[in-house]
Amino acid sequence: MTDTQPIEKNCVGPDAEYIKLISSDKKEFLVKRSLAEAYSGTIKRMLGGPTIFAEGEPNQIEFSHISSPVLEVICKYLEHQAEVEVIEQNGGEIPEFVIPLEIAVNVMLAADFLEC
Amino acid sequence: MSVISFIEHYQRSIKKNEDDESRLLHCLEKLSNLTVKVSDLEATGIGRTVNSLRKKPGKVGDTARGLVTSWMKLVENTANEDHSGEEKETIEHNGYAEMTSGDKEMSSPENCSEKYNNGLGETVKVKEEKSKSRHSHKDKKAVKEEPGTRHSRSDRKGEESKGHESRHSNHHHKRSDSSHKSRSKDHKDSDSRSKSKRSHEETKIKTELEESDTYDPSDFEGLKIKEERLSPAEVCKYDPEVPAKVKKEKESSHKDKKEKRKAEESKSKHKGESSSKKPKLETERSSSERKERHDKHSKSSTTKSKSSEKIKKEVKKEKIDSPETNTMNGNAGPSFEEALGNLDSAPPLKKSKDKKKSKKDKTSSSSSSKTSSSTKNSNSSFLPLPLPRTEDLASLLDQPTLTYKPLPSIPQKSSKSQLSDSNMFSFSDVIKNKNQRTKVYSGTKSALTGVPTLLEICQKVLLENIDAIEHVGSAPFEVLEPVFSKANASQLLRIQHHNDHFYEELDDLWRTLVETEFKSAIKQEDECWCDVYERSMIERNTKMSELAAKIKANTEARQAPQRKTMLAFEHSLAKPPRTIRKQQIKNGTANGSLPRNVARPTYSEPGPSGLSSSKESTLARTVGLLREGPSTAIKSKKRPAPLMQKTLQLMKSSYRR
Repeated sequence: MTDTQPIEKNCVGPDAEYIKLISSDKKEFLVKRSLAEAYSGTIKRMLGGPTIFAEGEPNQIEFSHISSPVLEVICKYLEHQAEVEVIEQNGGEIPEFVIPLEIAVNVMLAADFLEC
Repeated sequence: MSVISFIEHYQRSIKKNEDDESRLLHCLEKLSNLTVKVSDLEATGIGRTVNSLRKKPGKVGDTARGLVTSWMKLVENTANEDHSGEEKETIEHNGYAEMTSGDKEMSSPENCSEKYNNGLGETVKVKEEKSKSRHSHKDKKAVKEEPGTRHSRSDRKGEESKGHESRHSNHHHKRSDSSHKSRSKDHKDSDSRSKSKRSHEETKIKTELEESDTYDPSDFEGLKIKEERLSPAEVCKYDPEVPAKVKKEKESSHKDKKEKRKAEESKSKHKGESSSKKPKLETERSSSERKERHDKHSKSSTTKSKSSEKIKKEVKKEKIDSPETNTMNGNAGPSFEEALGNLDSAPPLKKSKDKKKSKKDKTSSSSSSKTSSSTKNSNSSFLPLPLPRTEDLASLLDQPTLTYKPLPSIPQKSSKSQLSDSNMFSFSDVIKNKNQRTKVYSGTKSALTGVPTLLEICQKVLLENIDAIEHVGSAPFEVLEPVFSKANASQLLRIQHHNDHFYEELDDLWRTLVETEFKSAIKQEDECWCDVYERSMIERNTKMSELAAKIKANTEARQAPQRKTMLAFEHSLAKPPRTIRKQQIKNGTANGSLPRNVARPTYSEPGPSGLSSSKESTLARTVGLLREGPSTAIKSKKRPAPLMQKTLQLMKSSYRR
């Protein structure tokens, strides 16, 4: 999760650094745009599609069918992917990404949806 | 010749009064004051004598050292002046050798040799560099030189040990006294040998000198030149062709020529002198010359590392090629180069034996060790080393080789890999890995092919916990299929129970299950595969149970009857023993009455229960017999067993008869 206001600002506009993912229970997750686009095909299409965000509007995507714990896991996965890439370059061991069992099915659904 | 006589006089006095410090000092002073010529030094062999005094403690040692150095300088100067100096040097070298043989330590000769500079620019420079390098450890050239000399020294040592007459042996320095002495003995045997030994000693001296810290630039020069000169003389046998081949990019081309000439001269001179005893100075000079030459060569070689490497290789080859040219020839020219080559080779060997000093030493030693190995091979084969080779070696040794190429190692891996590539599972693969250390991987085995997607991760998690899957919700079947396909019957049943909407898809999974488990199951018309599975499962179970029961019965039947305790005569009359039965019949109490245990007045006193019970039992028996009276009466006439009957008949018949 991001922390401060300035990052919020970065969501504004099409060239923002961060994007906002909103879960079904209205929880907002801020992730780096580059990460999200790189590792999630759906989000990439969403952001680059015909409905380009106008200036002044924050880049945010609402997932009405994805709950916040699931979305949290997804955000963590995006971070994990980025780390893995770095580790792969340096030739280290990839840490395992753990998913809590209770929400595994939902995460799987979300992952299937987001193509990540 | 009065000078000579003086010298001899002092020489004798020195030898006589080795312990008398004052006397020695006196003699040394007198000798230093004498204006001696190189020829005088050679003739008397005073150099050797003074050299032996070098190691003496105190003023004697210092004076001796100074004297030796001054004499070496003298020899150098004379050598520079005329080419005939070579001969002198060779003689000196020989004398040096003799001297060193007598002496334990060759430090002074080395110093002297260092002084013997022939004024060759390069040699001088090399020497200077050497000295500088020794002190600064930064001069590459110097490094090269040192290793070169060492190499030559080492080479010489090796050769001497083997008694080779090759140049290599000549250049080998043997620090051990015994070796020197032995060599000296050998020298006496033959000129060539002596020459070689002298060269050894000289080189030894030179090395010693090098090691000592009393370096003068002039000394270096002289040493170098002398080394070069001496080498050809020492080797005695240099093919004219060899040096031609070897000689490559020697910068010291002009030097070589000079050296050749010198070598020739020295050689001739050397030959002329058959006496093993040589003036000390001569040996010193020769050793120094050798050193210088070596240094020179090393220096030149260092300048061109690559060339030197090439040359080195060639040198090696040549060394190996000509193992037999060890006889003393008059060919000073090529021999000179060869001698130089030997020199170069010798130092590396020596170097390996030498120690510390500086990086140069280390680098040189490392390189020298390598080169020495090669040179040793060559040395053993009595190959007159061509100059280029030795120079290359020396250069390689001296210089911290940036382009060093290690000895060609067997490309095992590459060959094996090639083999493996060709055949997937070839014999070579097996053998290759047989002796190779197998890699040990610690940690979890995870055959990760790339980074798994979140989807895959989730599926993996679910696979591990199929039992926990209940309501799937709105998840599409495609996503869950990999998970369900791994489920067994019970799990599938459970899933189906929770997720009826997957009925059809799950049915397919049931089908696969049925086919894997019950190969002979036949699906009936109104049955779904799930039912088929159940039915066939039930059938199987029943079969199993039936079989089990049968087997159980069989086993029980076959089982040996166990020992059981049972009551006899529970419902019938007790059967008395035969004797008693006879009595019963006789007495007419065969048929006993029923037991009267139940309602019988207890006449017997309550004594020991066993007695009373036994009485009662006998009573019961008799009662039983009485009850069975008529039947027993009928049976009273007991027939014996058939066999018994026969025997009885026989007996009767026999008795009657």
